[in-house]
This record gives sequence, C-alpha cells and structure tokens, in this order.
Amino acid sequence: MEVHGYTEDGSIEVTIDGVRWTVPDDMSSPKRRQVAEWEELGNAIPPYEPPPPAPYVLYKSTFIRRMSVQEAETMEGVLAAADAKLRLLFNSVEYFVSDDPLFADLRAAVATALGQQRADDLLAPETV
Amino acid sequence: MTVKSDYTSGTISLTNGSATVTGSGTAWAQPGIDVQEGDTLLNIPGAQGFNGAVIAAAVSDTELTLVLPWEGPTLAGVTYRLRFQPDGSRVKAESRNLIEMLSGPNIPAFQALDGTGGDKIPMFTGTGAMTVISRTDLIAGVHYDVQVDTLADRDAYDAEPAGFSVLVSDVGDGRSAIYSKVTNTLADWSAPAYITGPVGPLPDVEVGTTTTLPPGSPASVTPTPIPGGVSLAFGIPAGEGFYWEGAYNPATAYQKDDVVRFNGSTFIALQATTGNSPSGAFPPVDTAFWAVLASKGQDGLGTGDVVGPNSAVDGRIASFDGTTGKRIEDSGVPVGKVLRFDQAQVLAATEKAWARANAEVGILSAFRSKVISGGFDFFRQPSGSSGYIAERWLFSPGAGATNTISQADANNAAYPPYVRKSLFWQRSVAGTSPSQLIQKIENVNTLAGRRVTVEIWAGSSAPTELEVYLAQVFGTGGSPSATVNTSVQSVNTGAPGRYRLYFDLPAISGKVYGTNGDDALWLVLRRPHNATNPTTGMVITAVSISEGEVVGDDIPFDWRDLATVRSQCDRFYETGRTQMNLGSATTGAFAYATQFRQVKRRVPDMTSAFSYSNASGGGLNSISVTDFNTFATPAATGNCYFICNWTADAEI
Repeated sequence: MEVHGYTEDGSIEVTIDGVRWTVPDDMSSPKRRQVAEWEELGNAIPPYEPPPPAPYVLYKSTFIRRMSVQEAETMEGVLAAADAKLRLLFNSVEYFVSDDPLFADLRAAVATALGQQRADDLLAPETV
Repeated sequence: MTVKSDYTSGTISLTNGSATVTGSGTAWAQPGIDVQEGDTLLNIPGAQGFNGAVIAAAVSDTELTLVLPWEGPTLAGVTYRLRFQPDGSRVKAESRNLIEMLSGPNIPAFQALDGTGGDKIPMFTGTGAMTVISRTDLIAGVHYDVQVDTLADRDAYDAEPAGFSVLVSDVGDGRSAIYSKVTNTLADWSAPAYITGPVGPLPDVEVGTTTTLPPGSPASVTPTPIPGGVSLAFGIPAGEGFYWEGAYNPATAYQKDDVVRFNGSTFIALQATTGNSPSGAFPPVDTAFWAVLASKGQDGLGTGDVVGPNSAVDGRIASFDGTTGKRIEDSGVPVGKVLRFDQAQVLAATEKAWARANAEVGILSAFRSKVISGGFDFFRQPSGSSGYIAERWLFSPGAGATNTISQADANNAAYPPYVRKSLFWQRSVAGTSPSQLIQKIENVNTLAGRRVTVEIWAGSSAPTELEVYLAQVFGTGGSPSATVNTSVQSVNTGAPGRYRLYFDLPAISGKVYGTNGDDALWLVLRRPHNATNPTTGMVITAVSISEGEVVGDDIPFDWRDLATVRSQCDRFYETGRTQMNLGSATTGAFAYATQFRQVKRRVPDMTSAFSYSNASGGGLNSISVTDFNTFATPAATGNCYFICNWTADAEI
C-alpha cells in the first residue's frame, strides 16, 4: 500500500494492490481503515500539494497593449539587443503559451527591463 | 173363659206357594180382634180341600203369615172365616212345653251346684253338666301371688307353701306362665300354666299401590288384610312445583302450575284452563292463563344442531369435528394467534415467521430473500481467485488454497427455470483452511430473532461437502459486541439439487453496534479444506435466505429482473465512464459532475483511469453517496477532452 496524500477536498489518494483509489476520509471505508492501520505504524498522510498552474495563451497584441509607451520603447530596445533568432521568433508569433520554454525567457527579460511586478502583470493570463 | 166368634170382615188374597195372606178391609191386629198364632182360616171359596190354614202371626191389620205356604190355588178378594183358638187349648199347650223343658238334664245339674261361700257363678261344662266359678276369677282373669320377670327370679319363692303361685312374665321362649307350689317341699313347682301363646311369626306387610295425590292434600295409608299379613296402599301428595305436561294440547284440562311447550317456548299455567293456548308471538308474552317460563331463542340460520365438547379452553377457536357439520371441537388455536387486520398482531416474532411461511406468499413476496444477486447474474470480472468476483459475494480462498471463481450458465435442467447464471467454484488446491464465499447482508438486525431458511441449489462433479452458517457481525469502530455465529450445517453435494437449511437467529437486543456503520448479517458458504473430493468443481446458484421455516413454498428464491438486481448491486459497487469534451475555449482546470446510478450506502472508495486529448491532471473530488466530480487541466491550445473510467466501491 502506498499512501500518496490528501486531495484538495480532503480525500486520500492511496494505491492498494496496484490500484489507485480515492478514499473518503471516513472510517466507514474499509480502505480508510487500512490507511488508519498504516498510520498506527507511525506513518503520516502527506498533505495536499496544489498542482502546477494550467498553461495559458497570451496574445502578443495583449502583451504590447498592456505596456505604456515608455515601457514599449524600453522593451523595443531589449528586443533589438536580443539575438537574431529570438528577435525573429517574437516577431513571427501571434501569441505566447505559458508552458513554452521561451515564455520563461520572455518573463525573465521583461523582469530585467521593467521589474518583476510589471513582468507578472504584462504576462498574466488574459481575462475573458 | 170365653171363646171369641169367627172373624169374617173384609176379603183376603192368597198366592199358591206363599205364606203371606193379604187382607182388605180387615183389622187383624186391632185390640179385641188380636189374631194370634194358632188361629185358623176356614171356608175360603174356591179352596175346597185346602181350608184350615194355620196362622203363624198377624203382621198387621191387613197381613197374616201362615205356618206353611199356601198349597191351594191363588185367589184374590175372596171371603173367609177366621176362627180363634180357645184360651184353654193355648194354656194346655204351653204347660206341655214347660214340662218338656224342665224334664231335661240341665235342671238337675243346676240343682247340684254348691254355692257355698257366695260370689259363685254357675257355668255349663257340657250337656247336663255345670260348675261354678269365682266371680273374682271371672273379673280378674289370671290369679297369682307374685309376678316375676324370669324363671330364675322364681327361685326366690321356692320355700313358699303349697298353693303359692308365681306369674313368670317370660319363661324363656317369650311366653308367660303361672307356676304353683305343689307341696311345701322346696322348689316343688307345678308344670307351667301358660297364659300366653308362643311368639307368632311376623305378619307379612305388603306395599300395595302408591298413588300421587294432588299437591297439598293429606297423605293416606289404607291397610288391606291379606293371608299372613296386610297390604298397605299409600297415597302421597305431590310436591308443590311444576308439572310437565309436554306439548300443549287444546283438549287437555290443565291445572295451575302445569308446564307445557308451545312454539318452542315453555309456559306455566297460572290457573286451570282448557283450550286457551299460550302466546304464539315471538318473543312470547304472558297471558291470563299462561306465563312465559322460558322463551325460545332466535332461530339460527343453519340446518343442524351443533354439539360441542364437555369443556373448552377460554379463548380458543372452535373447529368442526368430523364431516357431519354437527360437532365442533377445540381447534387448539387461541383467538390471539390468528391473523388480525383490525388491531396490532399479537404473534411472537417466530410465530409471525411461521405464519408468513405457512401462507405460501412467495409469489407476492418480492425481496423476500435478503440475499442480493443470489442468482450470480453480475460479475465484476469474468473470473478471479479472491475478493469480490461476483457482485456482492466476497470470496476468501483460504490459506494455501488455489481457487478459480467464474460465472457459468445455469443450464442444468435440475435448476429452477428462471435461474440464468451460476457461480462455478473450481478449487485446484485445497490448502489448509476453508475457502469461503460470503455475502454481507446490510444491517445485523436482519432477521434477528427469527427462524430462517437458507436455500441453495448446488451440484458438484463428485460428492463433497458444503458448509453453511450465519454470523451476526456487529461492525467495527467503538466497542461493538462480539460476533454471534449460528451452528454450522453441512450438505453433501453431488447431482444438482436443492438444499434447505434452517437456522434460528438470536435476537440482538442489548447488543452494541460498531460506529462505522458496517454491521451486517453474514451468510457464509464454505468448502472445508479437508472435505471429500476437495478439488471437485462445484456449481452454486439461487441462493436465498428467507424468514420462517419455508416448507410450503416450492422456491423461496424470489426472482428479480436484471435491472432490479443491477440496481441493488449498485448500492454497493458501481462502475462508470465519464467523458468531457471541452473544445478549445478554456483556460485552467475544470470539473464535471457525475451522478451515480444508485445512491451508495456510504461515501464510496473510487478509482479513476483518465485518458486525455489536450488535457492532463485528471482526478476526482467532491465524492458523495450520490455523485462526484471529475476534473482535468486542459492544454492551453487545441480541442481537449478527457475520458474517465471509474469505480465506486461502497461494499460492507
């Protein structure tokens, strides 16, 4: 038996005989009682760990529109100083995807040029 | 002395052969005429040769009696001449008669009597023989000097002189006698002179007729002499009270207190009556002549009289005795033990179970069996060796044993026709402990305190044993009462057939349930590891457990349609598939709610297996007894969907 930990709503993820179960934290469940016996051996159920944020799409036009004129001039300077490949990619895409490795590079460059707070604001998911 | 002239007045009538002479105009008895005996009738015309009839007496002025009957012809109203006899002739005749009387022997005997001492009375002792007796002796009866009671008492007078007499009241045989001293010699007594006879025999007394006299009249006894005794006829008055006269008859003269039957009632006469019938009304009423003594009851609707036993037990129901319809008997069934519809039933729990079983209500008793999926219609997997393989049936293989449990068609003609599937139990290795097939029936209170019938249809390739018992499991959590097991009963399986076993489940009053809500009645079918032919294949189907000792029902296993069985199983275990097609217009994780087909007995344990398109991170949350959520995180781009195959397990 492998106890994976609590879920967000308080259930317990556990694998018994090769099968992964979502078990209510309720002793009426025989499997929960198995977990309880496991706990009596000195073990503890791991706490809930939130999953990583879901990827999102950010249109380049949104990113540019969020900047002030001065910030746009600054970022234009940063882009001009970038290597040719990165500059070509930025100019060719219509949107950014948050789980793309280049999105992390973009966030770092914006934070360097405008500060971390503005980087988060400018690269935040679009609101519907 | 003178001689009267003949008397001729009137006429006479004579009848031949009669001594009576009737006169007309005669005065034969008148003084101066005074017809006397010896006078003679003469000169009677028409009676020549018969004159000279001698008169015996003059009865009256008009009637004479002749010495001899008249020998002449019968004559009427004829003249006559009555000649008086002269007085001298009469005196002479009387003197002659006196002389003849005095010349007999008695006068001399009288003259010879000795009257010395006086107070003597002459007494004839024979013709011409007389004596005298003392007047004292005559008036005093027996003469004696003393009276004693017995002969022994006489001894006191043995020295008395001659002539002394003693009256002994009882000489020894009941008679009395006088003894006289003959001489002066001591005790020289004469022979006894008995003055009473011996004690005679008792007279015969015969009871004659006995007559019942009217009430209040005096009793009577009428003796009638019979030879040797008397016959007594008794008259005994009837007592005051009723006198049964039978059916009323208008011609009978009834007396007061006579009782009659009329139109089924009885009446008593208030006074003497004839022809006045009692009341014919219903109910009857009193009249001036008759009072109702006992009124008939309302006529029943039946046609025969009913006769019951001499005694009965209060509250028992009567039933017919035999087939005549005229006799009833104690059925032995108390009124309180019959099925009631108008108030609470008073049967004990076991009696209720009997009643239901006896009523053969199987066809009406859906869900009578407490077993779910007793026909093994649903399996979670085609075959397996442990755990829940068939729905609701937990299989425990036993230590060291190897079993294969699978579903099979119940295609043997010996099984009930509606049974579709069966459980095939193949044990290849017997191991060291029994292999068990268990159904945990929800709620330990199930059938508690009742007699139950477990029915199993089973067959095996070779003879072997299948053991059955029930266990009352009070659950887990807290401090539940210990499990209570019934006795283990064993059946020998072989050719497919039915096996019925009866158990008495204990009541559970006072027992403590566990806090986890998993108390249950366990039905355990087990094959001993050391059974005969332990590895033979066995087929089991149509397993049921029903209240009562099932005898009348052919099949207590109540067939249920598959949807119902599926739904019953879903309360404990359910599998499903949830699919979510999201398209491309979303960001972030999303969730999708899925409703269970059946509300679970508890929040189930669940498994989930996701497959995605442009999504990831699938999982379950918000699980309840009614529904749950599936969630996943879609990719940032592209049409995404996910499929989740899940199971929800709420078994006990």
